[in-house]
Amino acid sequence: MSVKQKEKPILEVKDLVAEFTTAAGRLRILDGIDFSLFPAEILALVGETGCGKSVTAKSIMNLLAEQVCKRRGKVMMDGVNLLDLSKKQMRSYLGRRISMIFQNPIASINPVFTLGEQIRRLVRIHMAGEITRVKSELGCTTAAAIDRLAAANLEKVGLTDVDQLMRAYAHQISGGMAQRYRIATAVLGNPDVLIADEATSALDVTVQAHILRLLKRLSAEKNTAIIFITHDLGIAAQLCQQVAVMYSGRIVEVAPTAELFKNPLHPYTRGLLKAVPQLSRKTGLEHIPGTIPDLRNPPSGCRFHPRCRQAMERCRRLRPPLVETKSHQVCCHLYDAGNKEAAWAKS
Amino acid sequence: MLPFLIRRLAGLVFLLLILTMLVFGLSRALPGDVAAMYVGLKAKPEQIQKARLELGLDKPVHVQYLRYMGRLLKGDLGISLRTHRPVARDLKEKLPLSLEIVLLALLISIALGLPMGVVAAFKRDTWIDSAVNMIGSAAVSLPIFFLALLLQLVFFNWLGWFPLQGRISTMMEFRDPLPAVTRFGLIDALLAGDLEYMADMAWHMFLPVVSLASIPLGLVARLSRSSLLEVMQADYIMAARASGVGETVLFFRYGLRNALSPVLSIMGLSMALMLLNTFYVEQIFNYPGIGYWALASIFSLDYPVLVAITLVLGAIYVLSNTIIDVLRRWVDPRIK
Repeated sequence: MSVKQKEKPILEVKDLVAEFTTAAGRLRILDGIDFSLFPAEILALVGETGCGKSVTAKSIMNLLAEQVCKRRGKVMMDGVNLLDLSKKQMRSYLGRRISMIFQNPIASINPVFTLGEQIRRLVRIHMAGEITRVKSELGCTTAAAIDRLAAANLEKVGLTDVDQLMRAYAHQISGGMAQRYRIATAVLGNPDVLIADEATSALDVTVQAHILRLLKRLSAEKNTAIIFITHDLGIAAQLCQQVAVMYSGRIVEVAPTAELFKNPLHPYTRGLLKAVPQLSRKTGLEHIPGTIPDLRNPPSGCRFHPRCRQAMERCRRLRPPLVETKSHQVCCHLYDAGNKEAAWAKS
Repeated sequence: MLPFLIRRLAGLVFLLLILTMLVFGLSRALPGDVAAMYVGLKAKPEQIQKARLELGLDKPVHVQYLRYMGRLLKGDLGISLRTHRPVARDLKEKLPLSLEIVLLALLISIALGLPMGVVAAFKRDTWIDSAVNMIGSAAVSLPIFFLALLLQLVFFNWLGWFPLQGRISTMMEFRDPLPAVTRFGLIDALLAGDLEYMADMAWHMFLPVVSLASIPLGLVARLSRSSLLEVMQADYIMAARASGVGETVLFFRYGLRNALSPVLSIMGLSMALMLLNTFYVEQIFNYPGIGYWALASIFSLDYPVLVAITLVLGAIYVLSNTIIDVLRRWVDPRIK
């Protein structure tokens, strides 16, 4: 934390709102997201299915159709609000400043072109400088330089037999290889930020571990900040320095990983942690009563209050402010200094 | 690829076998005396009897069928009951005429339909999209006989731009016939260097081809639009976009190739549809192809011709779908 405060964040999300126009009416999927991402930081974005993790990622990247998803707020990168950019302007950021990998790696690769064709195109888009350098160094043709760079990028993510791999199609490789390939294509433009949306959820546990190690290495080597979206708290604990907990379109708590697991503040985070099976624990699993709120008709005040055991009268009325404690940022009336009821409830 | 083609060929032989049985059986089950038809209405009973023996109609049906099959293997399709001409010779003359307009129609429906669908998808929810949608719906839903008559009314009666019917102008018929190299009139005329002849044929073909192309054009335009829009929602498109690939490449290269497979399939079906539609179109435009011939033979129960036409249409259908499947494999490497 202390180091971070000196650094400037590479990505700053402020009051990001995303509203979807659907047949059921307007749904506010993101209801004011705030977080900052620092260089080389790995931030976990955790939460239940449907809480808006993926939408947060796709809103930052401007990957959702404008007719369907209206975005407001700020996504600042080098003093530019990415939300103000047109899709065309945004393209100069995608892959080069900010990039993304997805849950299902095989489905994320175009099935009718070889892996080689696809990565070569990205090399042409993002590595123009390197192509000229390799050409002059080796005195080879542009095509050969592109081939070399593509192969080198694949080798960097731990893929072997790259010549054969480049001739293969997506359906001919394993999920782990596909995710490595996707990582290679996503980071070949040396982005400052990589968003990994459930990037290991569809993989076997052993493959998962390899991919996590790869992401960690990339982040350290290239100073890439990673937003790691997951519903798996174990992975978040393993990989990330910071954890942001999302609930129903809001970030309810942000803290350094160890701190969050040791001392969760938000009632939702506490419930979430108690719902994780642990071998050392003798008591049974607890669950959070109720279900995630219906976004067509979200609860007033704090969106968690209908499921919260410590809910107070004001939770129903007022949206809780973001409170900064020593090490946490938490969005809950329990920690609101101006709240007199809070003192007894903290426990 | 080779095992696939062999399988298809075996399937084709099997299909043709079934077709011969069906059509042969049907032609015998229908009311009407084949021998009487062969000799004509004014024939005396003994002439009919003689014809019956000559045609082998006194034998049981299965013997007749086996005889027919034996001759078929030698390329002999029998004698037309109506014209008394060898069916194989007529077929060789008439089939290319129909294939020529069908293939031209197919070409037009792809050459126009695909770009229409692609542009509509690219310019989704604009007036271009609506226009393509409307043209596509109209093209698919207009009955072909109605469209053909409408075209005659507008382009012959009112505007006078195109001839009413026929394959060539009467003046042209007095010329030396073209050497039959490919048997496709336009190509033969081109090979012979007779551009005037070629232009005259193209002029006559125009309205029949437009009539035939209408439904496939609408199908291809609408399907390529919807297929492309669906593909553009796919994960791999979003992933490529997130990696910084531009929209034009995403759409016209990454998207389009994925969207082609269903469009190719519908083209295979269109081929069958158009072959059937030659029955209407050739009748309306008095175009002497296989459809015209088929209708005349149906009305006179000219079963040797009907069996031959059925076999040929079945074979063309299987072959064109085999070609389509080869193309689909080339477009989409996942198809096994």
